[in-house]
Amino acid sequence: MRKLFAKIAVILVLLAAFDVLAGVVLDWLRDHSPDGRYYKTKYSLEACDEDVVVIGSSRGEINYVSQIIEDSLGMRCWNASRGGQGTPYFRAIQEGVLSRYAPKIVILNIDDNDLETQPNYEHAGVLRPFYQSHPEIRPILDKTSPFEWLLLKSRLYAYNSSYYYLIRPYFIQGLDGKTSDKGWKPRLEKMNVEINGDLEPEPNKVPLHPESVALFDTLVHKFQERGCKVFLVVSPNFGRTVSASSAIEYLRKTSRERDIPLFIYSNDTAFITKPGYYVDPDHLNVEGAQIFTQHLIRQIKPLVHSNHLSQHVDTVR
Amino acid sequence: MLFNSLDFAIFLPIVFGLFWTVGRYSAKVQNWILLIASYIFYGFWDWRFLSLLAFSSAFDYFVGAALYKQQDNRKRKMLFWSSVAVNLTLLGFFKYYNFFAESFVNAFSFFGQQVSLGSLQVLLPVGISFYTFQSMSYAFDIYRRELEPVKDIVPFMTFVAFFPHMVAGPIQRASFFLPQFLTQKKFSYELAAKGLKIMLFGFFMKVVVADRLALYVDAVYGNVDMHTGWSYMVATLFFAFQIYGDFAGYSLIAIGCALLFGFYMSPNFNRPYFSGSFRVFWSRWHISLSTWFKDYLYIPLGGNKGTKARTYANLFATFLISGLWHGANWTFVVWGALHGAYQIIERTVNNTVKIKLPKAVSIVLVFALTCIAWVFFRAATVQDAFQIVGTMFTNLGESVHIGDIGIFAFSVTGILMLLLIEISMEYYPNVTLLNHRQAPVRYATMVVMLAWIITLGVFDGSQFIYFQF
Repeated sequence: MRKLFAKIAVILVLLAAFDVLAGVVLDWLRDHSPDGRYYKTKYSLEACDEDVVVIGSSRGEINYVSQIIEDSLGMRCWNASRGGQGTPYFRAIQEGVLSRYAPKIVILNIDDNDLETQPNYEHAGVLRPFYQSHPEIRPILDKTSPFEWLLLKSRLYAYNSSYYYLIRPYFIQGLDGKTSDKGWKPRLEKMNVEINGDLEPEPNKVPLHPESVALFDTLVHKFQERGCKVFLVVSPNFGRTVSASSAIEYLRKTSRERDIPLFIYSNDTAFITKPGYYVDPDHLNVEGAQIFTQHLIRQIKPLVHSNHLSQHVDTVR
Repeated sequence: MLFNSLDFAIFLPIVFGLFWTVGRYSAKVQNWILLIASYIFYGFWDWRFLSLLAFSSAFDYFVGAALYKQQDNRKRKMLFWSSVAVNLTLLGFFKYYNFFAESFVNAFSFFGQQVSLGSLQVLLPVGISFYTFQSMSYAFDIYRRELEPVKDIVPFMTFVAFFPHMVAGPIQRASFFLPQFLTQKKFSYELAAKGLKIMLFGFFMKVVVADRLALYVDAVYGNVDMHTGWSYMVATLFFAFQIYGDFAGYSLIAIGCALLFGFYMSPNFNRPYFSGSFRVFWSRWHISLSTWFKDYLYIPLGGNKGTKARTYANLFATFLISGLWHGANWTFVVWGALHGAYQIIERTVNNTVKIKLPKAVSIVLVFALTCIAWVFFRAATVQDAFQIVGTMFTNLGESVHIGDIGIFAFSVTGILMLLLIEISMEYYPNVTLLNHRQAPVRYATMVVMLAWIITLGVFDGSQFIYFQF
């Protein structure tokens, strides 16, 4: 039995050494990434100091043109959104940002999913490579599993399944948006669908998920507490009207109670009936994103210096 | 408890330590340790079903003892059938009640009659199909006078509940496996090291290959109507490797884990996708179940002793029942029927046409037809399966759903790695890195495999597919 344990120990030591060496290479690749997902996350957590920060999932990443926001508001803007993410990721990014500075304006793109489904901490696992260097995001990632803190001692585990997106920017740049796009991910394609008849009816109401709601409340509260002006936005979907979901009703309530402007575009026919604005039913293409951002900023601009924000709830045409 | 969970990573070393320290002086203590550990392992899912497991085992233990003592053939038959009836009733109630009730109601409504049979909220106990079959094999073997009953109930209960294989096999014949619980185990470094290496490869198949492929397969099969024929083809190809990686991976972990405690299990897979015929395929795929059905169903039905028509009928019935064993859904029945039909056609063609296809062509043909059957195995309903097969043959489309390109790329890498290893095992058995003569090669292989698992494995706690059966 001693022989078995001795050999297991040798293999574990070799594995640990391999892990450390691989970690050095992987950390280097992460830190020197010319663009792409890891560049973006690193920038959001460690370097961004813009006046305006956009946070959301893929709809946040694709629909909000940072340059338009900068030009219109005369403030610098960074889009810290990331596809496939939800409230756990938003909270982690928030912790990373607030540990350094408080942006003047935060635009939160919130989807029904963000409040109505269980928070997916596993998706926020894309932040694992930053766990060791960013203590502020650890409480979020620790919720992935009870032993996450232990597993994340391994650099190989921290980079689990990340190689494709880690290495890609070294060969092909701009696929997740160029650095000059400041976090925005432009999508050039045009959806080739027309609405056949009426818009899809309002979906059935789904109850809110208390854990997601709690995460969202914390998100809003922490930004407000640090003096950031928060704007809540619901992006449009093609061919579908959503105006009375549980999530939207909760956003309305939050807007009223916390004096936060809310912009609901998911029932705005100027957007939801125009296939030419979309790359797929949930995401706007470049043209749609530009028009959407311009429209939104026209609404936001007068409020930036206003002290009575709650009057402007539901400002959609 | 899942093999690919941290719970198991803590559980296994504890049981291993106890077994070889506290238990090393007596087979009795070793069996008690394994029995308690197995019940804890199973209780992690749902402790309430432990009573079912205990009842099924105890019943067969007492039937076995009575069968052995009984000389009257009529009474022996009654005892034997009581074991079959009890086990199949448990299986039937927990696994098939709602399926048959629903099918019965649907059949009547098809003829315009309204019949009402309440459906029950029956929870399927994990592994019930495996441990009932395992337990039943004891009564079978004693009835056929191939095995003497054990005097002590503990080794028997441990044989049924032995945690490495209780929930998803490999199903072990009582006459082969039970005697191993009667002798005291002595620690063997060679066995334990071999077991760990087998487990390592099993984990690779499960978390690197199967769970990765599942992400793509679920995305396509979960949205029937939305994909092109090409996408279904890719998803079905992926599923063929997913289910292989999942189940063969589980079996390897189970076999390796048993070796850690000094127990030998018969192999369950032998590179089935290199089969040039369906007969060979079924001697390489889920070997323990195929053997079980052959020994306890096909041969008792008459096997190939009667006319050709009778043999084919026996074969078809065996595959049909094997299909149903996999799950309470018509999709599994069609899957079984297809494999039954494949075998019958193959035998008929072999008997009439004397042309021998090149091996590579036969392998591709068998694999392609197996994939068509997998569509029925994976689809949610028979209608979905027909729609998918129809789309694959009539509307290939112009694009393939890729989804997340990173996941897709890792899926393809996983398949290629697995194929490379399997080709080397099949055609170059002397090229072995895990058991290489030189220690540095062995160590390097193990470290690379571990690193590969850590870095490309999917750790979302996904279930093994065969747990549902």
